[in-house]
Amino acid sequence: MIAYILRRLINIVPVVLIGLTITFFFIHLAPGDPTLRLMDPSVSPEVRQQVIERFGLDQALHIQYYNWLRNVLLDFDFGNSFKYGHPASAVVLDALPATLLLTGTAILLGLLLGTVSGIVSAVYQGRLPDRLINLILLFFYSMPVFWLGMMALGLFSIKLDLLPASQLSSIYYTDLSPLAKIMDVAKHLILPVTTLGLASAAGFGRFIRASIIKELNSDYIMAARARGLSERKIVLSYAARNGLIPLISLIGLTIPVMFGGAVVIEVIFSLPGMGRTMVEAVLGRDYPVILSASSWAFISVVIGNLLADIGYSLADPRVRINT
Amino acid sequence: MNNRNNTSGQPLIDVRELTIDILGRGSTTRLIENLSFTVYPGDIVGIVGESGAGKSLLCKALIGLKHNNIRLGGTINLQKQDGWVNNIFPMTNRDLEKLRGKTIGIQFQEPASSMNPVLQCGRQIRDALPAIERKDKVIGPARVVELLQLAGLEEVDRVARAYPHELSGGMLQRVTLACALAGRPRVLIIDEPTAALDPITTYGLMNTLDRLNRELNLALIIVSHDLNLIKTWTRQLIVMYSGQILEQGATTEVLVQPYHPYTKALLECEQALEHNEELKPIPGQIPSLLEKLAGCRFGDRCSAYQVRCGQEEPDLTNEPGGRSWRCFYPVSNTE
Amino acid sequence: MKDWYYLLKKLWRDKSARIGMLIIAVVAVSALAAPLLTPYEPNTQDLSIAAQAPSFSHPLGTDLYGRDLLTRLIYGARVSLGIGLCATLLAVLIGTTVGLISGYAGGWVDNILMRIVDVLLGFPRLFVILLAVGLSTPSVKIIILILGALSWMEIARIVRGEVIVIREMLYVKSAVALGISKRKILLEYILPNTTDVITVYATLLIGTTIIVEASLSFLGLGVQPPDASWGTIINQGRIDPINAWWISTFAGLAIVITVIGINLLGDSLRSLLNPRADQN
Ligand SMILES: Nc1ncnc2c1ncn2[C@@H]1O[C@H](COP(=O)(O)OP(=O)(O)OP(=O)(O)O)[C@@H](O)[C@H]1O
Ligand SMILES: [Mg+2]
Repeated sequence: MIAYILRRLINIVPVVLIGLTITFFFIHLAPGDPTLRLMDPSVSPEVRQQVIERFGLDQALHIQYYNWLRNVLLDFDFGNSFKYGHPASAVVLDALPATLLLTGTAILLGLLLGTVSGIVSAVYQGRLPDRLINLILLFFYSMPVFWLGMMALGLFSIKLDLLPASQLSSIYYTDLSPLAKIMDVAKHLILPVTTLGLASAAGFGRFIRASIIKELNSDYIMAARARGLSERKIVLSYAARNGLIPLISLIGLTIPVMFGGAVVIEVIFSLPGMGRTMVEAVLGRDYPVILSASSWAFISVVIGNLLADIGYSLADPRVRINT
Repeated sequence: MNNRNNTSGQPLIDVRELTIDILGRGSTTRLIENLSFTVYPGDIVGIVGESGAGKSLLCKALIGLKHNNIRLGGTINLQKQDGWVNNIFPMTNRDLEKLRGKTIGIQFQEPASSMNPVLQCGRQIRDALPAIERKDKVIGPARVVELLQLAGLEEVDRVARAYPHELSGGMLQRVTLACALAGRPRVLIIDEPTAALDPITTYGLMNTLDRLNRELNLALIIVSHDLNLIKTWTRQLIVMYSGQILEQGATTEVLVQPYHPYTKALLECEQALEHNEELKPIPGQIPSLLEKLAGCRFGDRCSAYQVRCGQEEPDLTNEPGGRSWRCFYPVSNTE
Repeated sequence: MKDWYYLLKKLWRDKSARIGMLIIAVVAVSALAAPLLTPYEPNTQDLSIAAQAPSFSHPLGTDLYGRDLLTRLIYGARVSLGIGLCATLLAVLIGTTVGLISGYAGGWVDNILMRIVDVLLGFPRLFVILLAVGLSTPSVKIIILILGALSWMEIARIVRGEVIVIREMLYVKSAVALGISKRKILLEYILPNTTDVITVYATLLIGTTIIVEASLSFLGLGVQPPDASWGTIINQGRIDPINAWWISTFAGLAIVITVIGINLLGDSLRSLLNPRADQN
């Protein structure tokens, strides 16, 4: 098992490198001149030339790639952001916590709501509670996250003025006591996290319902009933337990989706996270930031999948990991 | 209906006019019609019938289990430890839970799919124990070991720790047997116990069941296609065809001198197989349950078919010895 | 052809499938017959009637450039639905092929294919789609290609997972023992048992794709003006969310209703194709 984990961890390196290499060439071959977006068009050609030389943009592509790769591998140095001037890794690292906080809490909320509603729905299959839950889940499932976010923002922040509309904390944040700081961030997170959490709860809930119903209809459940097991035990420790196993791999697959959701949510609620940084970097052709952000995104997603695979093999004895 | 000669006290299971319907979209199919029989303590009852006759559905129905698209009718009365249950069908699931496994144990047709794939076998046997035993930290595991031994397993610890997919078909068969015995039932229903086993394993398993019958006075209902097995191990026999009982009685009597042409045809097939002769298959197909024809169900496949057979349906004829058959022209009377 | 007819007939008997199909039909027909349904031009601006609230002549109001919102939405359906369908088709084709091969072949083939899937799934999808679309010159064709080429991995994984389980089943094992060719086993024994998962996932994917495309357009990276998908229209509504609330609200509702229709159909398909899963 440990050998397996180590092997998978080592495997992350080529995966991320291949991903980054593709991204590197994709970026550099894509139309659009970074210097044009970077600077005022009125800047003289000489100054522009200086900038190009400083970033090495005039060299042949393979040399640029070689230099870039060497820096990344040796120093984890992605170069300086075109826009901010300081190291791209720092720009991205600054944005990472907000995104992790947002997606982490949203996944937890989604899992909680999704599991409860999925189990209830499956147990009451076809009856009123199931129909009601189904309808609600279907509604949220079919909704673009960003639209839900916009509507929530318009209603609760702008119209009713109940919750803050943007940023992760208030301007007077630094003056607050530790407890008040937490409350402040929590208040800022309510809308974005609920939006993202509801969207993922809908997916989880529908998945769990179907999965548990499938289990409830299988022969071993009938056999367990024949042995006189209580319905409670059959639902909770047989059907729900087995039906939740596939959820583990779904969580692994959901992580990148959540990053996607985080992009639009961060843009709508002006949160200082990776998603917004990425959108700005793409629009501004800020190569170092794009590559640095991508690498973090790749790493966290691959680790998420690894954890999902390990979890799956722990939960289901039929799936054995061959080391 | 009491058709036994050596009746010993109260019956354990008393099935009266059981019907089983399959509800389709817009149409219902009657799979089993007015089926009645009784099982007494210590009985070993064999049920034979062609594939699709509804034997497995019948087994499940005996403890009030069914899929949602199936409707059960008639009555089933049971004797439990402390009294008599009049008709299980109106009972709530919660009440049925108290009967299942405790009054009647059942082993389903495919042992592999009747175990939860992600729990260890020992744990699943323990789950089937009565609450007091299950929750006890000492008695629980001890009972699991005891049950596995009772089911004739040897490497008890390994089996208890194994997941279902890690065991062979024969071992799983015994594990499910242990599960079925966990509630100390007085009747055990075994659906096709030996369909996938080799002769030696089959013999071993049947031996175990026979021992349980003798030592615990456990009544057995054995469903099988294998007439040989039925002949060797059961004492009572029910021959089913197309949702009806065509013949029943003491196994030896029925198989030595069958009254119903269907039973006779079955026996001839069996003997042909045994002596490697050319098979004499029963001509025709088991009638589709959708099209209900007038007259005897076996009708057009029967060697003794007469005009009357196609017009009215024969009733069960009962003989004082406990035998009954459903035929106008029973074999022994015409020969 | 006959199978299709029976499937449709069965679907029609199912209430939620019927609702789903009706929704889809209404949206699809109005998309196809757009010019016949509305007296307005989708792109002709008239600032004198800009940002008017819903009224009799403009049931859903007008947008910031005085274009009839309902007309814009009907024409937007062409773009949104078209992209959703085409991209999904592409993804299903790639994903099923890869999943079947990977799950059945096992060994190094499986290893390489799944490594590729790992790498591609390692790209958070919207993130990469954003990158790809943002760095190219967005056009409908390119968006379809990018969405399709980046959406097949889950299908491949799901199909592979199914295949691995099915491969171990008795009937497949005995087919192998009987010496039936690999091709036949894959196509006749295994593939039919995965179509349920594929159909259900693909149906849901159409909805997801419509939403992803809307997200891109919402970020200003998707369909470019004067053409508009529903996402583009929602984005326009962001400029004045309070006074011109109807723009984003109705455009969003168009997406929600359409995707609900697709999902209703998908769910019913699942219970029809796989009756055991929905027996109660
Ligand atoms: N839940 C169900 N829904 C619809 N039809 C069913 C259902 N369960 C069983 N059947 C049908 O009822 C008939 C009897 O099934 P059953 O399993 O009882 O047969 P059997 O006598 O046990 O056959 P075998 O000897 O092959 O085990 C079969 O034709 C089967 O297709
Ligand atoms: Mg059977």
